[in-house]
Amino acid sequence: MSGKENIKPMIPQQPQALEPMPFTMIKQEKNPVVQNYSVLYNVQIEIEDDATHSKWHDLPMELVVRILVLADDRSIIVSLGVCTGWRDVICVGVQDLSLSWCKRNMSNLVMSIVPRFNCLQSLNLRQNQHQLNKQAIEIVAKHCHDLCAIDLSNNTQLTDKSLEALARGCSLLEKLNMSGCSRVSDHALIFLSEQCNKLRHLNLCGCIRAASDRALLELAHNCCHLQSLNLGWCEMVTNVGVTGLAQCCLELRALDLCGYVLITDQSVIALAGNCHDLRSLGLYYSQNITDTAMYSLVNNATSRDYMESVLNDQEEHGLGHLNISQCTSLSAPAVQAVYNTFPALHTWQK
Amino acid sequence: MAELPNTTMANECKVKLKSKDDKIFEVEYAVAMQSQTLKNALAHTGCTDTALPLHDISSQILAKVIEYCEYHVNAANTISEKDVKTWDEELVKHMDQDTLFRLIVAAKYLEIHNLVDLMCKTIADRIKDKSVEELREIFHVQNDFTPEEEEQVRRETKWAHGE
Repeated sequence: MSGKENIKPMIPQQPQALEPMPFTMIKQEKNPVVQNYSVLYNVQIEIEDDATHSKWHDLPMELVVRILVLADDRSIIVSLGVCTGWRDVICVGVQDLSLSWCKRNMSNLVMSIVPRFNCLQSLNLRQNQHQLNKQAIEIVAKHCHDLCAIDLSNNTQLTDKSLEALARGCSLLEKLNMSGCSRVSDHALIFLSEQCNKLRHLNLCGCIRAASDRALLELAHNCCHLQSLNLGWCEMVTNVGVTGLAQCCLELRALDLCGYVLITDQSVIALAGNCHDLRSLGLYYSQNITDTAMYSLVNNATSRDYMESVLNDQEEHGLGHLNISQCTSLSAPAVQAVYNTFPALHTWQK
Repeated sequence: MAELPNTTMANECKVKLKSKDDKIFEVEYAVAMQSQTLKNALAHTGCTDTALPLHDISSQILAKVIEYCEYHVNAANTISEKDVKTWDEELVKHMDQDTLFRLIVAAKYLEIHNLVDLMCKTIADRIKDKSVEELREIFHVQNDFTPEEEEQVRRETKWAHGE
């Protein structure tokens, strides 16, 4: 017996037990589906003596979801088993889910739970050790067509096939973290860029096989709205890839090229000349970078960004972060010139 | 939305609130304005001597709501955020589940957003690591699954336990 004897017919209406009040009872929430559920499940408020009964089982479902989301993701999943009302509202009300706390059974959990959630926008499947299998990724690809963001980092066994399945199923992806997915090849990355051309944030740190010049050029061509790209330790990339990137991805704000022994001034010159929104640049260990690269940053900034940063908000324009640690070919005057040009650079390393 | 005609009136206006058990509470206008619901109501009625009936809020809970609002109005520009946070935590620290839930429903009804946030966070902290049965007890919710549905959900969520 459900114990919901007091529920009136399931149509939204003003609770009749109250005197008419000159203000709205139900506030419009961002998620109209949750709002509808909260109207449906919100027990009619009635006047009665309740010396012993609490009335808080009137708790609107939108609050239930809000509380669960503030608790932790494990609670969200456990709560699916509380009652049908909770199950239904959680499945449409929860849009962000993290399973990274799952240390052993992530694949099983993904396969059993992800199909329940109808409106997932972001999914964190970051792993402590390799757990995620092919079937789990395919489940995500099959059920999460609205996914905007996914974290698959440390998935060292992620295969091309799995990535391609994900790309096909989740073509609206804007944010993808594939850091540490070292098995993926550049074929799969090219395919991903063709399917997911809304990508804005891509982390390929350590994706040694995936980030080739060829893949980078395709990525630049297909995903020209890229804002941040982490190519740390992708040793195959040369000036060809970075220059191509600079010429196509004009909205680039952050680029990490750490560990790039092959990169020379040509890459930095291309970035300085094309990517005027660049706020963060990582050149750690790029030992072929010389003062020429530094002065290209200075010269391309002076004409526009410096004036804007002086006249407007200093934080918003020009480089705010530059990692030139281990760039042993740089001289102090060149580095100083960069510092003088970009007031937002508070620290840098030589 | 009409505001009260001038600030003098606003400063002098006392708002009367009547709880479910017919107790009258009088609060400063600024305190009442912490509630979007009351703000809207007063925009229609203007400053009135008639008590606004709050049919679903007991005097015990209304007193707590007023305590919260009065503190926050006074704290607005004078007390540091850190101290306000400490005060909030003290307020809810020893509250039993029942009071927490009544308070969150009242805060929601009155649209006092900061208080709703505080209540959500407080309840959230208390329900971490709870089992299904414990959650049902805390929220006083009946299990309305059919045996088949229950088995299905149990199967689906079992991997979340024991991690």
